[in-house]
Order: sequence, then structure tokens, then C-alpha cells
Amino acid sequence: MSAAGCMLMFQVKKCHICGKRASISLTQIVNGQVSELALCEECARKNGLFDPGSLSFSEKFFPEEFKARMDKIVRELTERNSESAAEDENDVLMRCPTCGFELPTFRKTGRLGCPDCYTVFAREISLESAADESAGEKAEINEKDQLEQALREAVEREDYETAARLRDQIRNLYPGDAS
Amino acid sequence: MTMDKLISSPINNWLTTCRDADDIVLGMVGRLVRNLSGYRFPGWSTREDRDAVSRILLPALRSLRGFRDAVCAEMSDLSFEQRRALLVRKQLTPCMAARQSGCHLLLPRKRNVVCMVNEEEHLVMHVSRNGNSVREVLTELRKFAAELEQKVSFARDSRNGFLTSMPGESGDGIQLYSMLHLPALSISNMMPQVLKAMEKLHLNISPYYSDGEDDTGNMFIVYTIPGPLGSTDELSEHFRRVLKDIVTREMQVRRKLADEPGLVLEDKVARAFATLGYARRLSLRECRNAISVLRLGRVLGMLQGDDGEDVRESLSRFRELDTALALCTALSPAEEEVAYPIARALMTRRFLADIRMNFF
Repeated sequence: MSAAGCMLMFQVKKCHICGKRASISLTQIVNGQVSELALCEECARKNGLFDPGSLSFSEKFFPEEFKARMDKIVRELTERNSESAAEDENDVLMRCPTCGFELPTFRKTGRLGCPDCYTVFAREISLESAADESAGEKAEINEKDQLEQALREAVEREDYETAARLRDQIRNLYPGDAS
Repeated sequence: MTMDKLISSPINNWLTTCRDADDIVLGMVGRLVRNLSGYRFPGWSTREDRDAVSRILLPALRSLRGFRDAVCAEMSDLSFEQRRALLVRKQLTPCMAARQSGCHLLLPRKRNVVCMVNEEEHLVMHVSRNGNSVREVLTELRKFAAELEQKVSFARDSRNGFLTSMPGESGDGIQLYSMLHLPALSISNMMPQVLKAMEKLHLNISPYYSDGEDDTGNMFIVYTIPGPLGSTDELSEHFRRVLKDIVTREMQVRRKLADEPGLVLEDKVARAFATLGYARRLSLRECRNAISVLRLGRVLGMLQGDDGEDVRESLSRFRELDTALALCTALSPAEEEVAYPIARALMTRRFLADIRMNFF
């Protein structure tokens, strides 16, 4: 925030928080990067931008303190706004522009519509592959746990024939864990 | 050459010619898949999409070495009987057999290669060889792929490799399949262990005959999972090693079975021989299981062919019989009930007339 600046100006836009008609727009310039936020009167008041009562004594009488507060509010709103923008972007990419294939169909079938879907649904594809890997690991752990549990139970009830069979099964399936 | 002439010509030798006298690894198929950018995958494509893809791929395929005389057919032009025959000859996949207009099959006459346009992917190519021939299949597949990539630009990106309709299968776009005959492991009830081991080794295994029966001829297909870009060399070596291990295990169990006291295996072979030699009605399942046991008996020297026929020749004849029986598959449950069991029994009786049992 070394070269941060903040200014208020009036424009007709949609509020980034509630989507109503905005009455003010905040433009923040941080290290040459310009970010813009539009707010309706209600949301601006909630964030203490129009309400002198919400300002502390120092913020009212010392410009530096007021500027720091404004910077904080704009920063928070910018972060929130970029998150919702990402969500909006995902919403827009529910459908592949090349083939018209839709994301719910991919979730249902595990198949894609055309090679361009790889770019359009990239995020979903990585999530799916991560989930598959995790499910595979869990299944392997569960199976081994089940066998070991059955082996312990067989030993406890002194069913050594079953225990020997289970021990061999574990040895065959997990050669590294023969002990 | 028409498709009918091709189907009535002798079957591809990889399917019926025995390369290894131990009769375990019957054959190998390498599968190459590729797609074109900007077109829907065949599962969702329109007729226009499929035609556009065929217009690009068919000329490129025909320009490959050895493909000029290839027989080409649109799936909608093939009859039910033609599709069934091609399926049995392994010149068509079940997925392609269900396809219709805009999907093409290209079969070079002198090569064990099958090209399918608009199967599950835009291009699916199968290269087959008999016996344990991982390296040969891979080399040939790569040669075709390299030749094709000079003519057609396939959909790929640096992260996923060659793009396929299922994201989990993108990568090198190559899979290897091996057809295995494992009678000793099956008779000894050791297949569940093999199945588990394959899972742990990241390989798939399924019955060779996918007709819904649990126990069909002791034949299995072991195949690789599609790997990421650049992983095929490692995967194929892993696959080769695993196949070698399966062969060793099957051989060990065969020796153990043959040495077992009480003539257990010999009894099984003799019973299978009697069933196939005298039965008047045979179900496909009964037939396949008995043939499998006889093949095992022939490898272990319990059966002899006529006129000093060697083991490979006998096994090739058994494989021809297997294929002939598969072609005799029922068209409907009613016909199966009436005609095919009798036809099967007649075929096996004629076949066994030339084979002697040689008991010690």
C-alpha cells in the first residue's frame, strides 16, 4: 500500500454487494493497479462511508486516520468482490461455447463434449481427478483395515485357520507389510 | 474387395495361430485414440460433425503405408450378421458395432490393424499380434501415430496430453490389452487373488468373452489403464513384467496340478474329452470350458494330435474351433434353444474325431 490512493465519485452502476442501483463508486489505486467498487447508499452506510457517527474521534479530525479506514474498507470490498467475480465467472462457464456441453452433464457422466471443454471446465476436471485419487487411496486403506480387523478378531476367537488365511491374504496383497 | 469377401476370407492369423506352446498369452492388442479439435466427441456428435471428422481422417488413414487397399465401410451399411462376424474376428469393438451413420470402419487387407472413425473417440486404431508381443505392438502403433500426426493435427495440450472424451483417459492415448488363457489358475480357484493383485498393480482384468457368464473358457483380458503423457514406456514395461509373472504362476500351478495324486487333472481332461466327443447338445459355456481343459491337456501331453501334429498346430486348431463356435453364437434365445446347441455338439464331435487321448 505504499502508493495507495482512494477517491469517491458519483456514477450510475450496480452495487457490488447487493446488486441494487449504486449511488457511489470507489476507485482505489494501489501500485498503479486500479480497482473500482460501486455501492448503493444502504451498503455504503453499513460500511460507515456516509455515517459520521460510525467514525471515531481521530478518524473525524485526522485525515491520515480517515484515509487508513477508507483504504481498509475498499480493500475488504475488493477482496470480496474478486471472490464473487470468480464465482460469477464459473457460472458463466457452465456451458462450453464450442459444443454447448453443460457442466452438470460432465458431473453426471464423467465425459466431456469436445476437446475445448478441457479449457472451459479446467477447474472442475482438476477437482474430479483430485477426488478420484483421494477415493482410490481411501478404498485401499479401508480394505487393508478391514482385513487387519478380521485377522485380529480371528486371533481373539482362536480361529487360527481363518487367521492364517487372512494373514496370507494380507501378505499377498501388501507384500511390503508382511510383518 | 467388399466387406463380405473380407469376412469370408481366412481369419487374421493372430487370433487363430498359436505362437507360444504353453498357450497362456494368446495375443496382444494395442489401442490408440486421438481426437480432432473443434468437433464434438462421437458420443454427443451430430451427423454433420461425424461427416466432417470422417472427411479429415479417412483420407489421412488411407495414405498410411499398407492402407491403400483397405476395405472401408460406413457402419450403417453393415448388416447385423456382418457386425457379429467382425466382432468375433476382433475387427470391431462392441461400442463401434452399435454405431450407425457417419461412423466408418477401415480394414487394411494384409495387416492386423483396425481403424474406427467416430467410435468412442474420433479415431480408434487397434494393432494386434499373437503371443506376448508388447514391444512389437507398441512400436507399430507409434509408427502409425507418428505418420498420422504429420498429416492431421490432433487435439492435445501440454497439461493433459492427447485429449479424450473422458478426462481420466487423456495422456498418451495408448492402451495395451493382453488375452490370457489361465485354466490352471481358474481350476485351482486362484483367480480372485489374481484379480486383487491386478488391482494393486494398477492393471485391469476382465473376462475375455463379455457375454455375461461368470465362467467362460478360463480366458481373461488384462489391460493397462490409460497413462499420462510420456508414461507409456514405463507402463508397457510394467505390463510386460506383470504378464511374465502371471505366466510363471500359471505354469507353476499347471505343474502342481499335473503332479497331484489321484489323477484329478487327468480326470478333468478325460471328462472334457468325453463331453465334447459324445454330447449331442452343448451350451456355449460348457463348450468353452471343456475346450479350455482339453487345451491344457494337450499342452501337458495328455492328448495327441493325429499324424504327429505338434502342440502349436493342435492349439491353433483348438483356437479355430473356439472362433468357429463364437460365430455360432445365438441370434435370439429361442434360436439358441433349438439350433445352436446341436450345431455346437456336431462341430466339436467332428473336431475331436482327429484327436487321440494319450494317457500315461
